[in-house]
Amino acid sequence: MGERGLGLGVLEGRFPNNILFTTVDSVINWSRRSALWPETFGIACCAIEMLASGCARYDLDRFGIVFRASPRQSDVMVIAGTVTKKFAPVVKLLYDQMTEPRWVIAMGTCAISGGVYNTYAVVQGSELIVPVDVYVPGCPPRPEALMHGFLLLQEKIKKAKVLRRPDEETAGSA
Amino acid sequence: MSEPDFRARIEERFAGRVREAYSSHGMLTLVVDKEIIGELCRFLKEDGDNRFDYLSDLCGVDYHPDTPRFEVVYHLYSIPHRHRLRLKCRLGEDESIPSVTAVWGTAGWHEREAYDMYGIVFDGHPDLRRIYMWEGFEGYPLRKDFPVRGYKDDYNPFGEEEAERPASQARASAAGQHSKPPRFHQSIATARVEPEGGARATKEMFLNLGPQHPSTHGVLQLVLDLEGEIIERVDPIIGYLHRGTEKLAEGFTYTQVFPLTDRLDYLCQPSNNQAYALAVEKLLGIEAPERAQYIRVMMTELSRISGHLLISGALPMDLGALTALLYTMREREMILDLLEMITGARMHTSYCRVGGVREDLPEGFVERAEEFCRIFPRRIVDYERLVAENRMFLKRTRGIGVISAENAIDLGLGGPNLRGSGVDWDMRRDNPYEIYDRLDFDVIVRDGGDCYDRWECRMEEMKVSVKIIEQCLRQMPDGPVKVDMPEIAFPLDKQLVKSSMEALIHHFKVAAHGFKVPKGEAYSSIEAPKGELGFYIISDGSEKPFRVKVRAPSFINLQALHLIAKNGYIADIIAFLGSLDPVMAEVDK
Amino acid sequence: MELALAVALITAKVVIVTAILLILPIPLTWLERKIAGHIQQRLGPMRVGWHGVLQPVADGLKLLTKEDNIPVEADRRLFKLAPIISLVPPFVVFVAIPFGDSFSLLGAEITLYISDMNVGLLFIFAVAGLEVYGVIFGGWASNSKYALLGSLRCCAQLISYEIPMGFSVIGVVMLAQSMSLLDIVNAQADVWYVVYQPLGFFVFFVAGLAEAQRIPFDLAEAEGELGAGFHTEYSGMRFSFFMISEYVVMVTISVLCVILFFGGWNGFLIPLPPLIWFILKVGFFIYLFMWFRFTFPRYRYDQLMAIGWKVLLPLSLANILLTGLFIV
Repeated sequence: MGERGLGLGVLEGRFPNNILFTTVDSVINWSRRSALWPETFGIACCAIEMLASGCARYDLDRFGIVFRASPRQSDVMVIAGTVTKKFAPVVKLLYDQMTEPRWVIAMGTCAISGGVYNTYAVVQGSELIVPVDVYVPGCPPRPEALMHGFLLLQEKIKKAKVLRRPDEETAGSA
Repeated sequence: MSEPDFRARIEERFAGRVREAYSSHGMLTLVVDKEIIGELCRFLKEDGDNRFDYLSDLCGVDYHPDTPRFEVVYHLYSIPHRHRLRLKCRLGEDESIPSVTAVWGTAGWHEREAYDMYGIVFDGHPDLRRIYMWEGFEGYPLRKDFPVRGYKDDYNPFGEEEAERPASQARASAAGQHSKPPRFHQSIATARVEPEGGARATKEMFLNLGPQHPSTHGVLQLVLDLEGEIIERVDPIIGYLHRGTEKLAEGFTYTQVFPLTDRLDYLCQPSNNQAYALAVEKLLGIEAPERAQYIRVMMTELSRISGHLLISGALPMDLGALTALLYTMREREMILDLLEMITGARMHTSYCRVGGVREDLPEGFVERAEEFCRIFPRRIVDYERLVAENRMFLKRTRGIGVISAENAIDLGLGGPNLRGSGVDWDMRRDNPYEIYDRLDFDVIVRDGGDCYDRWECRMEEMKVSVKIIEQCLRQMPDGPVKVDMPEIAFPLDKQLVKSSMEALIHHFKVAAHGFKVPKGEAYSSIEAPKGELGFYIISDGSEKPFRVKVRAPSFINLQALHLIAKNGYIADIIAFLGSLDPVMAEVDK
Repeated sequence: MELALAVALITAKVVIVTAILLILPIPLTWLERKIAGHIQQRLGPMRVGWHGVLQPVADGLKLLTKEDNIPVEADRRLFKLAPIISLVPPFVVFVAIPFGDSFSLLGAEITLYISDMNVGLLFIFAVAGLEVYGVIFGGWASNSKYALLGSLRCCAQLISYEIPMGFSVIGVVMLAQSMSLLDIVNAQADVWYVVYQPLGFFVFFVAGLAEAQRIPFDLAEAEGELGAGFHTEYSGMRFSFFMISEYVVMVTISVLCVILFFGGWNGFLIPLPPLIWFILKVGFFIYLFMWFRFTFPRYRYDQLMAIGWKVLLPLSLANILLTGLFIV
């Protein structure tokens, strides 16, 4: 997680790695990974597959994933499509507007590296703008792939230290 | 009225000022002086025997280092007479050309695009700003001396060195300024035009709808001037998804361009493939085998249903009825399954090839498709019960966003947007291509021109498409699915590559270098789900196109947004936008 | 001693009602997402607990541990105040709402209401009207145009719908000859008032939908137009306050519908305990609210106003007139 804050202000990263705080952390992480709310934010073709993932056949809601229109209320930004240079400041702004803890999924080749669009107008990878947690390759990735991306993100959240100090080794398994 | 007739009339009226007149791949082309373009266009539009009332396309071409450097190409169409005409004007680097916005309203955005991409200045254009790139972007991307990767900056480490930039490209902005896009709200500040005389009292406020907004269907930004909830003025800002497709296509072989066309209208990929394949085939003077034509038509119709399904669910969703979208997406999955069965991909199919399609239909497809045709019409009835009979939906869409037939033609709208306004024009029937002349289908026309009529047109068109697919399945003959021309397409019999040296060489040549296309130009268009989707391709005789211009229907449809500006509510613009059905990737190219 | 017992009893009741109301959004959120899922031919939450029952718990915990963000340009005091103002009145309303008749426990008679006011109905309308201030403050303090538009819409909407709503219950008051909810329910022991007051019920229910900010009247939120409306800028716990408040208001409107028009806890044909009857009826109305939400589009702002002033208000006045004639 680096030096990114996790949204609990002064409580964060202050407590020892003992059984009490590992339990608290695992409860907090459980809630965070069980209620990942992505932004309603689609850019290009991938957005259609993202939409399909939310619809009847794939149904992201099963994992507790519901789309929120306001960046303030969302936890994860799915960059679904080509980020152009003109659009890059908007992506940055939306990321800044999100509240901690926040994660980013780069969905599709364009968002990962610019893909085939190595042109004057396209940002060559959204990593250049915002820190990306999970990359979902494909052009566009199938809904299953996006789901897998969310599950990977859940795995990542599971390991995060919230109240515990980040430096020490985890005492016991959480 | 036949071609020689109007050709004679034009030459009689503009004697000596039409430099050249020739027919190229079935389209009369006039090369004219740029001074007379305004007058000529007005004559062509208003003269009773010509009636070129529809400006299909307007684009720039760069012949660098030839002089005069630029060319502006107009593709006109006459809805009453169903014929086409191409006008061309050459102009030098520092010259400008009269604008035709006064003749056809649709020219507004076309000319802005040509200005943005080539730096061609149109005299008399009311609002000549950049349209895709941001204000302050240096250079004109589609010029031949502009590198496809642009110049190096924070967002693109692969660009050319800034030092190598030719002086001619920095004309757009003040010297020394770097071409970084502005921050979000600043870009809006520059986009806004303040009304004169300090009329902006405290009463109005402006609101940015988008680019990230649930109802703009992608990355469209609308700058609204509001008085309370009523919109005084709307300024759409596009280009947030401009990816440089046309520039990229110039560096690709003809076959490599197919995947790029997929990503234009990403809801209806097969129709994009088809339009592009037809244009290249026109240049080559070949035609796909009959079976391939049936397959293409069938896939285009499948994709038409899939595109219409999404938008006919998205409009109610924007109005608050979320469930409609989930129902239509359910049926869309059935279509995606069919497409996946044929091509292996859910969305970006890239299935057409020049001279046919990639491979034959898989086993068991016909049964699956028939099953779909059986189930789907019943589902449409469901949607109609859920949405079309809902009083609230009617109240939100009836009489909202009315476009008159005259306006619709003037703005160059296409597809259901045009037919919803009572213009009875469908290229599948009126300028049939491939095997449409053998099919029996209705053209859906509604007279109201409001959001509901456009929506209903789409619903009815889906039923028509099902009928077309059924006919295709019934009529489809056996036979090859691509032309038997080893220098263009892979051999029909793949085993041949293993036994015949010649076949192997051809296979290698086609795969590695592509094929040469004779010098010339061709414009070919189809009735895509969103309207007239045209590809204008200029070939210089090599394996790569010299210029590919996409006549993107969404781009042109979106221009109609300002019609709502007068006395519409914020909520109306959402409905209006949803009924126009723009796909931003196609708008921005 | 008696006084101490009474105080203890009232305190206990207040605590229980508050606790129930605070917990209620959890099953309701789960229900809403499940109902939405099944209406939309999907499953809804499945992975967090058995069939996703723990989903709202996870949502709540997550919101609790999320960063509390106050925009730089916001009016900080109002911004913090708004969610609380929006949360408290819906709870206070329940002071005057009876859940059933009295029963005796260990010889003492225990009533299933906190207080039976003789102006109960007036009190409810007065207090419920305060909730709108939360929305207005929230939208105003956020210093965001979407939020501002949302709260302005909400303001106009609530003013226009309070009036027909208030008028629509006058018929009931005339019939019951009382403003106490207990009396109103008792007066319906034989015939539910919806039989005498179908028009009144219709107006009350539609206005109630508007009051609860539900589709087709959820203009303050209007996701398709305003992003998230008045709470666009709210995050974490403050946002969840608005959510809780929305659910409690929905429950309030359902409870009022049942008490005023559907006989409260009075049973019908099947003999069930009164409280069960009451819960079943309220549950039905809550389901109705959710069903509407996933079926209907929303009205446009001016259409909403037109319905309020040109349809509901005349209807509610006509209802009073008819009721008057009927009684005379």
